[in-house]
Amino acid sequence: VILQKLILRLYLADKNALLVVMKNLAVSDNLLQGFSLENILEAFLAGTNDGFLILDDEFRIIHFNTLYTKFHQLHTGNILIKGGFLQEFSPGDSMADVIKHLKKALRGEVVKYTIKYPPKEGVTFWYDMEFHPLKSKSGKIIGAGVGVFETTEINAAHERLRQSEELFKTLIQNSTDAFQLADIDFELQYISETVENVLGYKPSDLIRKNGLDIVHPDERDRVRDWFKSLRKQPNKLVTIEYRVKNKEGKWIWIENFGRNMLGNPRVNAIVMNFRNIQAKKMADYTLVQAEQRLSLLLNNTEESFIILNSRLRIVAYNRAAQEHSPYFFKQELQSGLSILDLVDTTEMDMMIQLFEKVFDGEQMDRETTFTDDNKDQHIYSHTYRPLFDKDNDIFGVFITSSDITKRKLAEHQVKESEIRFKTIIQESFDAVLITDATTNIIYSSPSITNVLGYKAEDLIGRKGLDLMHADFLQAAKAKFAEVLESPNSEKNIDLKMLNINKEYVWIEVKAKNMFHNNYVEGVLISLRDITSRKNAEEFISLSEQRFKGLVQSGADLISIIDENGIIQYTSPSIKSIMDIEPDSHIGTSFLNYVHPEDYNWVKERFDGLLDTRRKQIHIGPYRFKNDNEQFFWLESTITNLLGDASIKGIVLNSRDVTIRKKLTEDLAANTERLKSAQKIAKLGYFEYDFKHKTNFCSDEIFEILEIEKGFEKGFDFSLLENIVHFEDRDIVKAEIEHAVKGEKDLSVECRLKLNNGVEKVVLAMGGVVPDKAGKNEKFSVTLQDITDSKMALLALQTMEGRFKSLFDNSIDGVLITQPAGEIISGNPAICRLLGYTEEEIVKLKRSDLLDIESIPVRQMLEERNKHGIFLGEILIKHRHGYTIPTEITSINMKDAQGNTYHSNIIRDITEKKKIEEEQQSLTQELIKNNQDLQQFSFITSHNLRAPVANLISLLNLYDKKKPEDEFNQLLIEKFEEATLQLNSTLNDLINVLVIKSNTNIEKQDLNFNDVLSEVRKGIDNLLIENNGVIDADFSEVEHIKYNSIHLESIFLNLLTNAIRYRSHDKSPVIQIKSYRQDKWIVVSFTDNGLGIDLKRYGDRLFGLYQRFHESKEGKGLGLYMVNSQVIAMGGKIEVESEPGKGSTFKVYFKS
Amino acid sequence: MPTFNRVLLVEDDPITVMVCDRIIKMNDFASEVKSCENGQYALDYLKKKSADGEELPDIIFLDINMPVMNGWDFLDELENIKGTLSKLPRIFILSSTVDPEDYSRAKSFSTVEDFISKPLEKDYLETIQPA
Repeated sequence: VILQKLILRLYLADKNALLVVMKNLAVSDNLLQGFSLENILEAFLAGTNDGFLILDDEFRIIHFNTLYTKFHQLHTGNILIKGGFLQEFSPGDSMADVIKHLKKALRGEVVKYTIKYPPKEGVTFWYDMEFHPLKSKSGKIIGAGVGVFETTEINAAHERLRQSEELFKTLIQNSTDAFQLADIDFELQYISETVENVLGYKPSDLIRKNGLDIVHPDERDRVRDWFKSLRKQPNKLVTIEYRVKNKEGKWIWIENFGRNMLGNPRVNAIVMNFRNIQAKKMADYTLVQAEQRLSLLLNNTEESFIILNSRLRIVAYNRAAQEHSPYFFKQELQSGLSILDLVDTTEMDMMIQLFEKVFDGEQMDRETTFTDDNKDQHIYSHTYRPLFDKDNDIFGVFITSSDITKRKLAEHQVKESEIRFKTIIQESFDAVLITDATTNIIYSSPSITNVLGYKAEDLIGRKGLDLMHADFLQAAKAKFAEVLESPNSEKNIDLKMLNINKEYVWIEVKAKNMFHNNYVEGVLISLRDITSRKNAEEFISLSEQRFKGLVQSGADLISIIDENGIIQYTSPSIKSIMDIEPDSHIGTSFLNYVHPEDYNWVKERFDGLLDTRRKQIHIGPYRFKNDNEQFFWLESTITNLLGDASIKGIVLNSRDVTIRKKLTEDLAANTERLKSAQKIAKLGYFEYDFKHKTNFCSDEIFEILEIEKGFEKGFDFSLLENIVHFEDRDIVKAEIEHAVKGEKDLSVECRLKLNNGVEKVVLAMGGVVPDKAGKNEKFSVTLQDITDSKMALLALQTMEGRFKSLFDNSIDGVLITQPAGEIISGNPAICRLLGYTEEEIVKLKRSDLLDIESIPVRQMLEERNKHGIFLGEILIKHRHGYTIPTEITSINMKDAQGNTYHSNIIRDITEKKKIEEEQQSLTQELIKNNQDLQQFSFITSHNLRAPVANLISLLNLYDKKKPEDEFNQLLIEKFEEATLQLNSTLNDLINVLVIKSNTNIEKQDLNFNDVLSEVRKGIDNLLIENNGVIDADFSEVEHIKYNSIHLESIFLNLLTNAIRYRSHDKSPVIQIKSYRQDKWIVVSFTDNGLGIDLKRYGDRLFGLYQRFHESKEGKGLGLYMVNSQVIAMGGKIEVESEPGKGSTFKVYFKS
Repeated sequence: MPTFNRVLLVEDDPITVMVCDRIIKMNDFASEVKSCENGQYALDYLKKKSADGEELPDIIFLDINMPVMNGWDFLDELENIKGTLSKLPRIFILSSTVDPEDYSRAKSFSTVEDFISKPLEKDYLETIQPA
């Protein structure tokens, strides 16, 4: 209904608008009668294989055919409904695009594009979409028609082709190279072995033959032109593709890179690098076919159709049908004719049957073939569909026909291309690997066998990197990582890989990340053996380097001039040699630059070359000026190469000899001087030229050897050997042999026994002189008569020998030093003394051995400077850091050259010092003992004198006349007292003397507890009287080896003191404890008594008769006695005390 | 009439004190003899007398070897306090020492007038005259 309305609307609004829609239908107006437009349109839409959708200008759906529904259903899941808005039925993503295109169509544009469904994974469907505006007669746009043409099959074929072509390109590109050299006439001078890979020929098959011989006859002119252009353009790379006949007689496409290197004297050929591009050519061909096919297919999306009425008369047909009808009908289409009139009689029955079935409601398909005038076969596919009216009655037949010839052909071609591709891959010298991201090989082409020798299946699962040469592993990894990072871009690397024979071969690797590609899904790697190319590259590079070295940076200046002397070419070295811009002289005669004085003879020689037809002349030094009017001496070789096709000129090879010229002049002057110098030095010079096998001897050689001059012709080494003293002969021979081989320079001193019986000593020095290439060119030797100096030296050596023996065997150390402090030598004795070897000691300096800042060392340096000699004692550092006292005699000396150095004779006085020190300490001890004794005698005499003085005084006071006098009685009492005092003092002194004089007292094993018990007997009364307590702890050390009297005396004195000097307000508490400390047994006595002001009395605490308290009981003897006793037995006493708190006496006994 | 008013004996030995006292008095050398048994007492005595405004001894006979404070320490201390005393007594060391060191040490003290070897005798006392 809607369609009817549309058509009605279209018809009413603008009859032409309908005609626009129907234009392609080629409807004949008169036959429309009886057919509604609706019928026709519906038939058209239903019959086509393409999808159609018609929308109004508000995107409202007016009509669609079943295919569109199918397509829509397939891809969106929604079914279109007439009258609905398109937006409601389409998915959001693609809808935006669709609406965009529709809007364009509604603005009057025709929009065509290709879409892919689904866009990503799975089976891909391709569609060509077309959006057409629908216009009314007045040109107003009233809607849009959308056509959907499925091109999946075409695109897939095309895509596959593109992919295989790409893969193919990857593999085939730069196919195996071969390398050939041809002369100017294309005669092949050299062909690389690889030609066999490319064309199957052995190089020997083609060598000396013309390169055109194997070229396809059709291509010869083209190739000849190419070769001509090469000749015209030196050094330019010119490429051509052409067919040549291979060994098997097949025509092979090759690509040839040519370069004219005739100008390069090292190469002097046209260099050609060619490769097999057959596969690439075929790929191109296939592609062209595919493209054509594609364009055919694309251009023929409109199928031919014919509409018949129920009487099988032609109602309508399209242009395509008209065009194609000759292929399946015997007569041209014409409306109104019965279709059967067009059918060949042979097909009549079959057609009638077919139409019968169609009128039964069936859809019929058939294919026909047709061979046209060009004998091309066409295949057509025909579909016959019944047309139903709205009452479901069949009112006609719709025939669609499409030429499927091309499609069939394309399918066939793709298949064929694939087969070819496979063949090429298999036979290729390139191998193809596909690896995963970890370089695991997941595919290998069989051609890997050609490249690395492995069988393809052996490589599957192996790691590609395992095949790399270690040197390239890092680079290969890095490159592979790059490949992984950049999909679809190809990376190249040349590296060495291990082949099956465990050899490393150069491989060009091209890798491409094709993970995105459904056919590859990995890294596609092509490998090709480029060993020969590498070699060729090296060869080219080497020859290029040589060429460059020779022509550009060489000292030689090469110019090409014509027969008139006009400069055609100059090598760049002209700049470095003469500061002339290389091209600035081109076009001018070289003679313009020759010095006027040299001009005439140079011109004469040059003309002579041309006249005499000589090939080559040499011109001796002549002067040539540069732009700054500066003249250079040149020496030239002129070669006539006018007849040489590659040069067609005269080559002027010049060398700057300015310096040599000058040197020659200088040399003349110097020669005389040299001669006399040689005479004076008795220096002969001998030279042997390896290349020319010639000798040169200076006059002095003959004089030294005292043989006739002119002997050099027969001079050989055997002569030298014969006259060498027999003892020296072997060593001379060996030295000469080493030197001639270039192993080391000759330097040998030997005795000669001359024929006349004279003995000489000579020094021969020299060696081989290499030429620029590093090859030994000459052997040159100077021979010096050193007989005189040698004799003097011998005498010296004898003396030195004596000195050396003294030096080596001396007990005293000898160091020879320089004023700056460097040690020149040290004899074995000093080395032993200081702990160094003789090699080590000479690396030392004064500062390593001496404390430079110390006074004795400064004194030594000062005194030696002043008086030339120093005698004294200094300390020298041993290698291990300690110092050794030494007695040193250091003397300034001068050698024959006037150099100052010092001879230091060093004697170790460690022992002497030790004895000295011992003596000193003994003396000290004696002095101290002496002082002690003196002190003791002073003190004892004082203490003896005091009571004596009292006695004297008392006696003086005694009045003999009055014995009964009361005062006299008192005096007698005092007299008695003083006498007792004297006696007591004497006893004390005797005790002290006993201790002091006898250190060798018998020792016993004593128990501290026993000693204490014994002592307590004497002091218990005192202790009890004063409520004293003794708290003894001898648990740590119970026993000691000591003299009991001494130990008891020590205990008694210390305990008595502790009680005697007790605190006034505390009962005495005395703690005794024995313990070990280091090597000592310590007994400590701690009291809580008065304490002693150690600051005040500390220094005389243990002095004789020193008392610090007012107590009448003390005589100042106790601590003196204790100290004396302890010290006499090797011990010591320490005191800690604080007035008012108490004291601790620690007695240290030697354990 | 005694030569001096007051003499101080600094001496720990009681016999010596007794003998000296007797000799001084017998020879009419001083009318009053005071003795201290060590240097510390002597110092305290001098300080107290001076502080009380009483007359200080004219002469001191000083022993060296005494407990608590010997003669040397006394002399050292005296150096420190002599400015505070109303009068500085003339000091004679009276000792039985034979150590020459003691003689030279005694000389280092300006306060010491002479060094007397024990015993103190009449003849010597007669040489000491008032200044």
